[in-house]
Amino acid sequence: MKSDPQAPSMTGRQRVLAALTGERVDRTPVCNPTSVATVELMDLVDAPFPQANREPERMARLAATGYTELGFDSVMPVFSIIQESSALGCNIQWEQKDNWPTVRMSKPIWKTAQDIEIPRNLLTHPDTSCVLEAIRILRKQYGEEIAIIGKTMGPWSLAYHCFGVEAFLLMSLDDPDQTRMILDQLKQVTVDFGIAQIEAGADALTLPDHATGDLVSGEYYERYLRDLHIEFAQSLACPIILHICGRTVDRMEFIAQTGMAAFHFDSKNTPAESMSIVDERIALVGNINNPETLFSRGPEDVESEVFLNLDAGVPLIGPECAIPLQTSLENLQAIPQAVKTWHAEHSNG
Amino acid sequence: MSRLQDLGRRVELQSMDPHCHDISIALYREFNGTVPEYTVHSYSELPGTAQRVLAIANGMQRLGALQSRQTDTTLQFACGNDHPLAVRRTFLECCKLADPSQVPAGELSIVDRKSGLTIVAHCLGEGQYRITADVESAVPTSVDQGAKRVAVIVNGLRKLGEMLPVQDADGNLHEDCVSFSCGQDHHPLVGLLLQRAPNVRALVREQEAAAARGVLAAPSAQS
Repeated sequence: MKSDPQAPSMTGRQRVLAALTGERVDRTPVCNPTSVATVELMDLVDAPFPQANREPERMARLAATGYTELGFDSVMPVFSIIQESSALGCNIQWEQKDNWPTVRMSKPIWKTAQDIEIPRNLLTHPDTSCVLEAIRILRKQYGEEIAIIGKTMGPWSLAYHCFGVEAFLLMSLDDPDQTRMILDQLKQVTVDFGIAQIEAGADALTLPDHATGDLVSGEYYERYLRDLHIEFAQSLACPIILHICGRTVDRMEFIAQTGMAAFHFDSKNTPAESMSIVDERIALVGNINNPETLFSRGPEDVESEVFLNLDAGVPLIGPECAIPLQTSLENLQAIPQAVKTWHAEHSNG
Repeated sequence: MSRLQDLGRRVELQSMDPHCHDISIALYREFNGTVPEYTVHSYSELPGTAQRVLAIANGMQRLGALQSRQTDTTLQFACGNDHPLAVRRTFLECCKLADPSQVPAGELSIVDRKSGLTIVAHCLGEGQYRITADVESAVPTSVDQGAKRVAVIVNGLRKLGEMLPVQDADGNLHEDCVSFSCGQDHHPLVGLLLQRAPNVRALVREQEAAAARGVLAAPSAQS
């Protein structure tokens, strides 16, 4: 833990960026690389789903509540994982206020690498330009106060959306060359959307690439994704936070080699074992359990998990993934409160 | 400066109210000393929100016999005790109604749709109720069927209202009786729970479906 209570007070932005680059912080930052939107916050600022996923003003207003209402050090306006897939032409189910938009992956848009056609309007499509405008609004409104985190989906996730999960996974077994061709073509979407968000004012980018523990092995990660992720770390000029759900300790060694700034890790991995594997080569963030702790339990349980991460030296604290939309506000407020409590206890003693 | 209010612990949430612009309405609980107080609240500022929140709080007074405290939207049970599942059920039932403030309290008897039997909750005092089936009320029927339906409904009341089994002084279980832990009568609450007790499974499914909404699954877990 590189926290120094004697250090001058930092803004949320300084705190997050310092932690992402391994520098000293006045206290551990509270960071949400994915969404902390809830239905009650949507009401508070009149920014309900699905409009908050498609209208920049509402997207920015809802994202800002992570800072103004919950006290996080970062904001993240890209709540969903389908913005660029919509721009690619995927069939989207936008859902209602209380549910997440999803890609209808049972209706894939492509079958082979030859089918891939990145639309010219990728960055001007309403569902991608909305993100860029929301980032601009947040940057203008909050200046240097908070870290603005964007999101650009990795090629593995995009391939799930465009080819269907089952078809793409089978292809990765049967036809490795075509799989690599697909990833190679789709990586341009990741880079272009990422660069556009950096230019719009994003301080860091979350890069979800769902080579999840339940479906893809660590060996697969090394074979198909490690080198691509190294490329992203080199070509996107801001700290990158890789997000992969599930039990991922079997690939954390490879992830630590990518040069990315941080890995957003799931509660299926213990903080101590994860910190031991990454060995300060990459920061860790996340791990506060969503479905059981944040959604179903109380602030005391949230505090316990925050303390577990801080005790292990995890440098940024936050939920493991996009939180359930019905999560209680007191549980979310408990995260920054627990960080402050932990630091108060440790500075006194 | 956060605009969130310190209303205590959220105990129930209606994510989208179909009767008022799909706003979210929540029930919060905090303790005033040892007495739990429940507040109905919405963060929405859309027109009609305040009236809707008030209507639900009024409905909870009518249907659950809660009493208003401090403000019109803060409530407590007359017994001053916590009945967490029962108050949540009261809140959710009020949210289903277009105007819960106008609905009369439930009676202590229902017609069980499955059997056609009239089921009655008889108050025994000190928070105890005996559930009986009027076997004359449905034809053809049997005493056995009546006993089975009483068992189902007793089980439903225990699950929905956290009501307790009743034993006599010798420790013998009265399988047709339930009681509130506070030892006080709550007729309107029993009337409300009695309507749902015959089909607790449907309520459990409804709650599970509501809880599953809004949880983001990884793409690998989506269809």
